[in-house]
Amino acid sequence: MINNRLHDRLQQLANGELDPKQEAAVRAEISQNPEALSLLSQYTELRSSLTLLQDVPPDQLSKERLRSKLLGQALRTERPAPLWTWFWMPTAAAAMAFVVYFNRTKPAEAPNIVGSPSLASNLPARADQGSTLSKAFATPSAKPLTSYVAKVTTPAPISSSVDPSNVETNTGPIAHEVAVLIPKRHSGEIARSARRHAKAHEPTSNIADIPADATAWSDLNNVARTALNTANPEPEKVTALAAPVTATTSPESIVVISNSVDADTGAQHATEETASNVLVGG
Amino acid sequence: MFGTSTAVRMNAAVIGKLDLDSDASLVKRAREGEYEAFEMLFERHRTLVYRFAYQMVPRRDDAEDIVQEAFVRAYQNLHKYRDEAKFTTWLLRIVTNLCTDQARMSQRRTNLEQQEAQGALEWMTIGDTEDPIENLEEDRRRFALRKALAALPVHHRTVIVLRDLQEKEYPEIAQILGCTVGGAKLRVLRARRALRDRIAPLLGDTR
Repeated sequence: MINNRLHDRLQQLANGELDPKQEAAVRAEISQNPEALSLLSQYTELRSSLTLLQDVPPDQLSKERLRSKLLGQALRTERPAPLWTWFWMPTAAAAMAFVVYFNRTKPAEAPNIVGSPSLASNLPARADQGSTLSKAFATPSAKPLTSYVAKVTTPAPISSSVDPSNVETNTGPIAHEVAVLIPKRHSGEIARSARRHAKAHEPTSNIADIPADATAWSDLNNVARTALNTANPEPEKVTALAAPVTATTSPESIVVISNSVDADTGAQHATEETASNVLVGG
Repeated sequence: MFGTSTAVRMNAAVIGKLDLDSDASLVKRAREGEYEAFEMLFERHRTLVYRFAYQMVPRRDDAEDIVQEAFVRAYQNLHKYRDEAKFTTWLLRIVTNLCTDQARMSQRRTNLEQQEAQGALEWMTIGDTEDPIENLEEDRRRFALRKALAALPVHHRTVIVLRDLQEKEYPEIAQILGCTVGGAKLRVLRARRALRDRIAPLLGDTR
């Protein structure tokens, strides 16, 4: 076996790069090692073979060639860059502006309301109050939400008339989740990046329908307050909530926003429900 | 007395003449715009540079182009030359860089050369090696070795040429490569091993 050190020594020995003392030591070391002797003979042969490459054919260089080359370089004029080379810069800037303009996040036309102001006051205090979470609730001056959605555990028959008294008795943990209808035509208008951002950071939603019925706020507040104060772990079926208008099933996807807060992002949890699981009333 | 002073004056004249023809002096004169001085440098060192270039690149016309380009660059950068190193060392450094650039620029051609070298080795080792003409053996060996050398990575090839073909000393190799003497020795060892691995069949490796 030849280690790297011995390999290098053999190279140096074959090329005459060792002093006599080192040379004697290496020769003594490899005297009983046929593999090392073979390697030494290879390097010796390589050394002798390389001398064959020292013969070089005569060159055809001349002072005249060099002079003409130098003159050619000296006389070479650098042409100014054509005018069209900078044309791409304003074009690129215009294209970028176009992209930014049409991909920008659609500004919210109305506050993103998923609960009433009194519901917001019932939630535990957060360090980032006023930033993300507060946007999920309406200000007192906002229009009352009369069309709202409650998640139900099983598909319930649609009743056109719901007794508001059932709401308080039948609310369970599921009723914590106050949902807002997001029509697809609205979500489609929001830029994809904005939707991704909203999904990760805040429960952005749009109100589809805000009639001017002020009594609906009190109904909704009753539901939410009861849900927050209820410690009943068993989910109970909520057949319907107070419905100022005729209830109907939603043909579109519904985002249900929970009061529970994600530990990492600080945003509220949001889940998308199909229409078959959700009773839309209002 | 007269004879002594004359001898001193003659010696001074000879020394002055020698000094006038030294590389440093020619470089100084060339810097001052005397083109003939630079032509003298060219005539003096072109063979050295050409030999190095020819051993670095596989084709003679490429080697000549590199030599020419090296002298052009040397002329254009004479103001950057410092007298700490020999002029030839500085010149060989330029040539080394040019050869490296050329190797990078013509990567595809290098691949073809490697294939050719591999083919040459196969022809040498696997094919019919019985050649009736004895003196052709050396040519074939030279050809295969040259191809194998050309197929080496340029950094290996450079140190092989500098040390084993140009027989430069390690300190000068270190100056040309811009590394330490120990680094130069290490590079030479690695390059030789790479070359030996490549042409082991040619060397009668039985392992």
